[in-house]
Amino acid sequence: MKAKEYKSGIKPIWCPGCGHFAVLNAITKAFAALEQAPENAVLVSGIGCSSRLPAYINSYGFHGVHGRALPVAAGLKVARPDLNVIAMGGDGDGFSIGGNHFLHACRRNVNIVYVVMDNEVYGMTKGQASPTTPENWEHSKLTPHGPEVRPFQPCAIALAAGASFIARGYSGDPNGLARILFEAVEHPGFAFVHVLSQCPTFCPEQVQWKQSVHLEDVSTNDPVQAAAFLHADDGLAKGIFYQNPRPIWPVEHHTTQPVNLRKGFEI
Amino acid sequence: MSSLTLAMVGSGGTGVVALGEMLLWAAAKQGLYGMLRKTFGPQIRGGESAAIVRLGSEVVANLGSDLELLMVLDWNNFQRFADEIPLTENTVLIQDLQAGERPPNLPEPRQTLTLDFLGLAKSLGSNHSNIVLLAYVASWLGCQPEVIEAAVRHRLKAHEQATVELAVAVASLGLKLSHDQTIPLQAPLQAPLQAVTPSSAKTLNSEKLWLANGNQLIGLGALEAGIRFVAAYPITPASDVLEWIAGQIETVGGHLVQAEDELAAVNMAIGAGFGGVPAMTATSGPGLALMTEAMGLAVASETPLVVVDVMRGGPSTGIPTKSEQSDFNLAVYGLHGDAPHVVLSALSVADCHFTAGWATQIASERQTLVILLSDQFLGQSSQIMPPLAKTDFSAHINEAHINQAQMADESPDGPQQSRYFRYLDTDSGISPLALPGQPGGMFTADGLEHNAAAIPSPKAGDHQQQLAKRLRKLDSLVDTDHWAELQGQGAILLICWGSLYQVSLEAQAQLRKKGIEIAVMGVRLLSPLPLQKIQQAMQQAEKTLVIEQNQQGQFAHYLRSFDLQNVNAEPFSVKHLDFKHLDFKQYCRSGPTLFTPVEIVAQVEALIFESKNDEGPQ
Repeated sequence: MKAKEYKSGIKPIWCPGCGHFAVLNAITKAFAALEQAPENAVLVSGIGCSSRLPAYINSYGFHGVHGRALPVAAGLKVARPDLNVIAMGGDGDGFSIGGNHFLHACRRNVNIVYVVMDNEVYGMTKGQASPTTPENWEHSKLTPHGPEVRPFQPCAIALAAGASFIARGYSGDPNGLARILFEAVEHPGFAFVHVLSQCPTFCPEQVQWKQSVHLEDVSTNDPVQAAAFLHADDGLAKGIFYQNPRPIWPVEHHTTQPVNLRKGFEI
Repeated sequence: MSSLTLAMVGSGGTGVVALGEMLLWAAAKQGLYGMLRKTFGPQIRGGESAAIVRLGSEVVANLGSDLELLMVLDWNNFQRFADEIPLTENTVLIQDLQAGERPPNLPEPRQTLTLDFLGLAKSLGSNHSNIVLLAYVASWLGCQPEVIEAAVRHRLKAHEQATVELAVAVASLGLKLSHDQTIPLQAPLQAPLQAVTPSSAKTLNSEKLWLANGNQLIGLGALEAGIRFVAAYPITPASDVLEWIAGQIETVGGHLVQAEDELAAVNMAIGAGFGGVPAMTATSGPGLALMTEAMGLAVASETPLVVVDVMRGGPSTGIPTKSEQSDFNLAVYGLHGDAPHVVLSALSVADCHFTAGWATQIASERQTLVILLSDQFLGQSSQIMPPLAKTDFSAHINEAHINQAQMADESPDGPQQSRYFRYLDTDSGISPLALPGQPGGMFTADGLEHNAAAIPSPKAGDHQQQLAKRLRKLDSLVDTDHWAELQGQGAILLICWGSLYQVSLEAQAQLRKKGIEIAVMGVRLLSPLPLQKIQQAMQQAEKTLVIEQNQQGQFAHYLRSFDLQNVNAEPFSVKHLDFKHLDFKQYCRSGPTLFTPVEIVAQVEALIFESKNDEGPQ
């Protein structure tokens, strides 16, 4: 199938210039490259602008509640290992309300992809600071002095929590992002793809990303090297940073069959 | 039925819970029936604990009202259980010589026997006074020495040989003691029990009795009906539902995931259910509260989901180790928005198996949320029972035949792009479900309101259509025979739900001995409530009494919230309704003390007395 055939035909609700359009295109390109059967892919999301994406793709989708895309995706993948399960959402959904699930998804290492479209703002609720908003960003009525809280470091935290694939893409480079998504799907285990996806409505300053984003295909399998890189990272590097496959969950145990479930109750 | 209730109390390390378990096991081996309730303080290990065992000649499904025998190895902390162990002047007390001072303000027991259980154990270099006491009491009951020894060996099977042999030797001292010092209880209690010892119990040869608690039986019912994915987060008293399943589910090709919290657990189950794998989670009150948002998602996205709530004392952390029926409101009303779903209650330890199977089937066939209410008493009380029959319940899904569901002409994207209508507005309200992997069925399940084609829509017409559809698909549930258990007929109708049903049946039997016939209704289908059937039963009685174990009368308020006078109850027509009959009295009180048959009998008698006074002046 061609990339455009992976679109469902439903018109996105996003603002003009939104980075998520490019992410949508990158997913369709990756699917085309993967020769993905549409019926065997499931896109699972939470709540927010970016979480509307599954409906725009010609595959199965699940648009759940705020912050819980990862558990829905993990439950689905464990139950149906035959499916290609991709969880997705925004920075508020994934790192704030869903932060606990992010940590445990990284360490559990279920074989799914998690794409976070990070625009450093809550767009759907009209422009509040998110966990990745700069400390001094004073454009929200909710935090008039700026959040005054250090931004969350998604890739470094993913590494510390045990993610076995860590990459960053940029919505201004959909072909590069498509390549990363391709690799993420191919990676056995939990693959975290952080995407800088600009919000022209609430953070027009992100237009500067175009000049600042730089390619750093570190692609190491050494966690110490990856940690050193990520701690020095300015947040605008793109590329595959870390790739170190380890046993995926669930571990398949050989069980004796068939078993009489009732035997244990007999006296 | 003849029965005998024994309680065992001790502080940490005296092993009274093990004593109760061994006693129940030995009784089962002898062909007796019985039930064991364990009760603990909040300590993780040690601390005070107690076990109550009721043995009977027939199936014992509640703990009864009276305590015939109280066995105390240590009086320390007894007061913490005083509410739960109804010591009366009819109780015979057996205490260890070194049990310490009996607390003041307790009723004087009918007779007290002070024996040196610990001294006997120590004479062999053991501390297991509980095993001396086990052998002593079991022998008096009529258990054969080899059965008692087998109970000890069964209990200690994971231990070293020397430990086991020492325990067996300790038990023999208890056996000897029973010959020297008999328990001063009257023969009427002993005879029926001894009459069903193995020589006379034919059932033993044909089929083995079961020993199970309600939590395990929920697991069995769920797995037998087809649950193949369980997400778990530990919480008392629901953990052993999950632990039992964890030990079994891989053997039937399923998976259990320990989640990071209840929010994850319920969403994982929803993910699996979306994938077409019947899924469940189990929790208790605080966990159920955390799950309510996602339960709304299951309703809106029409994803099959079973959530088991093993209720404990609440609110907040409440009394985690003890029973209450106080999550009714949360289960029935706790969801945000208009979210029709199913709430079931298990009516006995054995019924946990049946109702879990039914819950699994309803969730799959109706593509919605089913909450199954059990409670700590049902969940953690072990009961001896005849083997349970397999049910016919199965997790059958109404799968989409995509060609029929494709409706090109009505596609909102225009005629050129045909689309599967996931949320098709059918007569039954149940829409054909495509599962991931099925070509042509692609759709995005959505918690956002959507139209029949699964496209997000805020339109009033779509909202009304989808709300009505999700409500309508539950309508026919009230026609099922499984909605309640109804026993007997009489001037009084006693309505209850959950674990109170078995206690009510015993109250009914006690009233019958007094010449009073009552009808007892145990409601299994709490929502949607079969109003016509309830109305019909109320019409056939003079008075109705609703009982439940929560302070606010949550179910009673719910029942009152329906305009029963205007429910058209076939075969009665409205003009023949006697409105007087549609009112009811309620008797509701909090846990954690269990309802007793005597307590219910007193309430029924009070209602009868009141009725007679009402009629008096006419």
